[in-house]
Amino acid sequence: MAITIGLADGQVSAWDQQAGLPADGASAAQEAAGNAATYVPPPKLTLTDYPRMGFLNGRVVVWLAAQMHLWFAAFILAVPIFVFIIEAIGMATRDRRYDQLAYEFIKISIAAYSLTAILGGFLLFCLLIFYPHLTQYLATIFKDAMFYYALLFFLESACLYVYYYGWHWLQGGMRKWVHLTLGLVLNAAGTTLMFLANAWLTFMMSPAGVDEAGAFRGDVWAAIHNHLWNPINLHRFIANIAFGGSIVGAYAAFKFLSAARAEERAHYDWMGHTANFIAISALLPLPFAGYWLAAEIYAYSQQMGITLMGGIFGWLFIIQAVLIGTLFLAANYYLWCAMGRSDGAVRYNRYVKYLAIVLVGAFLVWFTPHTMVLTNAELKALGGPYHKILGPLGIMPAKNMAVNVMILFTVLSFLIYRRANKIAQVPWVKAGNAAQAALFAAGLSNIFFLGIYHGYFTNTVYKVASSIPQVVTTLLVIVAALLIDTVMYRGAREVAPLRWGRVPERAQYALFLLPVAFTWLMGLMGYIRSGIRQHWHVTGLVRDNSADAFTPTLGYAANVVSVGAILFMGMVIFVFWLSHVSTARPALAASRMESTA
Amino acid sequence: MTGYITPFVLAFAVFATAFLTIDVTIMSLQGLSLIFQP
Repeated sequence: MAITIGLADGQVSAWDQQAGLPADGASAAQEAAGNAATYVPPPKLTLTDYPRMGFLNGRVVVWLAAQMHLWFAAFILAVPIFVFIIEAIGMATRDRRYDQLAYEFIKISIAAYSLTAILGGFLLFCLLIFYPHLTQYLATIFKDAMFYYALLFFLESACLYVYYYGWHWLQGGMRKWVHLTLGLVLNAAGTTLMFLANAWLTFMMSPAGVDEAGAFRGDVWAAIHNHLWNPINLHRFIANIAFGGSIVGAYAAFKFLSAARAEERAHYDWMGHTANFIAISALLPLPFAGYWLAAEIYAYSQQMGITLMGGIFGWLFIIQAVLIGTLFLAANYYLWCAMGRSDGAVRYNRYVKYLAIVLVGAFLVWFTPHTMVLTNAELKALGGPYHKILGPLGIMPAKNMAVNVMILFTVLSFLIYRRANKIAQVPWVKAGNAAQAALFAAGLSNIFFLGIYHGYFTNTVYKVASSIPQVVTTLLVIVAALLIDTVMYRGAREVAPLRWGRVPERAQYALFLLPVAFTWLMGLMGYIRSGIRQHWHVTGLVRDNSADAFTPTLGYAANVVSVGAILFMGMVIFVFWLSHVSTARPALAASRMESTA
Repeated sequence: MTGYITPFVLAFAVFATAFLTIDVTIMSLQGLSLIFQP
């Protein structure tokens, strides 16, 4: 990277300074000293340090490249996780359907793997073109990590290609265990790649391993293991699974709607249901991981935290609430429609409207804003900046209660779906049902007690601290309810075989809505996470002095994210089409042969 | 009806006590009491 461009003799370019290289004409001793690992602070950038390229806006190009890469990376990291689990279930139950389902899931992601790499390369080129000094600064610090990151792609690719192309070859006995192990190594490589990349962006938000001037101290682990690294790792790991599940669910929905035969409809109905289950299972703990991330952002920098949710980006969290509420409503709607597969679901249909009322109510609370954008006349008419009755619903305690309620009622929808086709045979069914009802009632009471008392009658310290027992209550209710249900329905009698394929087509549109909402949401949240750095490339160390060193309007940001989401959806449709034609060809050839016979 | 109400009430009492215990434990781990002390 020691490229000197148009410099006079003896001058040291900004890039050479960063690499710690001595000026031209230095003595051998000085050169030896320079070769030792000494690091200098990052250069102070000026407007001329940001190359321009025609009419392109470098910030938007890098923004879109990064976001597109991230969407695809999330997908191809997630799919091997649940493919591995489904394959393991198939081995444990010796049910070949699971093995075939796992194979079909991994097939969808193969084309996406190449697109991820292409977009990653494009992103790297864009960073080098539009932000060369920042990129070199980061490369100086993370050079070891970046080198091993590149090498890990060899391992990941090798594992993925043998895992996929060798699926039918590595069947039976010890071979299957080898195959499963390959899946495990694939996941380990992919997760490590994500963790390494996460370090770069979290370093930009919460730099570590550098001195006050930004000069690297030489310990790359310190730079990797910065304050926000683990919260991002956890949030992205869980979110990837939810996102990946929703994408394959959309594929299954597309195949369901275009299925010609009843067996195909049944197969893709089952596939969609499994994908929805994966997406929802990961969606349930996701708000807690996001809350931890936000809390750690606050802990690192109060200014960043307040900008995040109390400042300019606060309204984007209202959009977030709308999108997450959409996710929950769509997922629940799918489950309610899916109850139609069972002849025994008629017993539970009357509860659906109560579930819907509670979910919609919680949704409304969640996206109620606090501070309104008002004219002076409106301010006077309202009697202040907040609505007297709805204002209290605009603060976090109300949101925490709402999200915990939505999570618990989604679990309730799932429990009802699960037992729709079963008749319990244990003698203590009534007591078991009463216990489950009491569990939910006690849990919800506790959530409301913590939310209302600590949220509105104590101070901020108690308010924030009480969110932890709230989370624990929700998680315990979920675990205990599932345990009671499992024991209660052990040996249960089936009402009738589940009629896979007997689900209204509108349920498939719920499966389409899930990845669209997820994609948009990820784009929005990614923008916020980057945007709270405001005028810093690296918080407090490398100032952004480009022409784009400003926070764009929310509308502009939403438009850029929307354009990206549409581009991504187009590419995903291309991936689905590739998967579709790769299975359609043999049938097409067979029908041609029949017609010419 | 009694076959439902009695187990419900008993289970509610047990679970509510358990949740309150968890609340007190978690709040005290954070150096706070369950009831606000200004």
